[in-house]
Amino acid sequence: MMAVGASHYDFDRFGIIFRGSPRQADCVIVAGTVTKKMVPVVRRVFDQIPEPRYVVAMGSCACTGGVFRTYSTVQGCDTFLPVDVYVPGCPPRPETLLEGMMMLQEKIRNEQARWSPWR
Amino acid sequence: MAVTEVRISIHTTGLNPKDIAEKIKGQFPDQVIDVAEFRDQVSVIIKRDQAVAVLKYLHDDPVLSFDHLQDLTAVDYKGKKDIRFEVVYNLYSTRYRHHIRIRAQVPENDTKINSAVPVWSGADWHERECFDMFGIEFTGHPDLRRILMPEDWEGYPLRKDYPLKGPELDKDWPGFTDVLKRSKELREFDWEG
Repeated sequence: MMAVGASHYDFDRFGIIFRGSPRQADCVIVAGTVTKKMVPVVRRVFDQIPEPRYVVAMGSCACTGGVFRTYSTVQGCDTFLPVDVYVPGCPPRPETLLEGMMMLQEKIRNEQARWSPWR
Repeated sequence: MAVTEVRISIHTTGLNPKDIAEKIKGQFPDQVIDVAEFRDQVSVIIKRDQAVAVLKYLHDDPVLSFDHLQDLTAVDYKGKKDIRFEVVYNLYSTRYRHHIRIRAQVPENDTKINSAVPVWSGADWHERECFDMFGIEFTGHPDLRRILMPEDWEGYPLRKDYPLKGPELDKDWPGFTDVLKRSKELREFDWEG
């Protein structure tokens, strides 16, 4: 995610800007293992995002729990979040995450009447 | 003109770990159970009752001077040894640069040992982690709470009889299952397109 944000791959040229607060965001990227202890916090962050909102699960751990079938790890953040795009990889290549975000943009483009009554 | 002679003695050569083990044996003959050696690493297995006295001696003795507690953890020997737990202290002397490992035996029916915080204050969080993961109670610890797991978590995850994949969903940590339940309820408000 750091690499995609930096100038070599550059999120900004696709209109994706990092925000400092969930209240200003349209999308959350779950980037990494989610532990059970962290679940209430992640859910609260998601709950603070105003509608319409989207979730991208980035990496094997966020998608499925990955290799960590243990007592403390959540087996995929889709157990408690409505995930729109799954980005596989351990870790994903920057191109993969970029592709995932562009797929999300495609999805948003095809949605009817969600962002406003006429779109 | 008076000449003041300043001598700085730097001891770089520490004691042989076997000699340290012999020293402990000489000082506490009834506390040492066994001395084990693996790849030149010497472990002294002791009884738990006077464990802190042994550690205090290792810390304070000028020849040994173990001022650094490298690690404090526990091992679960369920089904392998008669006494189930061992609390392991890895000690190092920054002055003499020698190591020793102390292992104190803790039985399953009474998982208690005295705290090493009065000797090394750095033992504080190590003992909290050890309590969190193995359920060993360190009597005399200033603030014995869980450090990694949530405070209302049940069970001690690194024990050998703890289920590897964690508790079943109905017996899981309530902080987690509550969120799962709530997110399931909120799913009806998700956008369906």
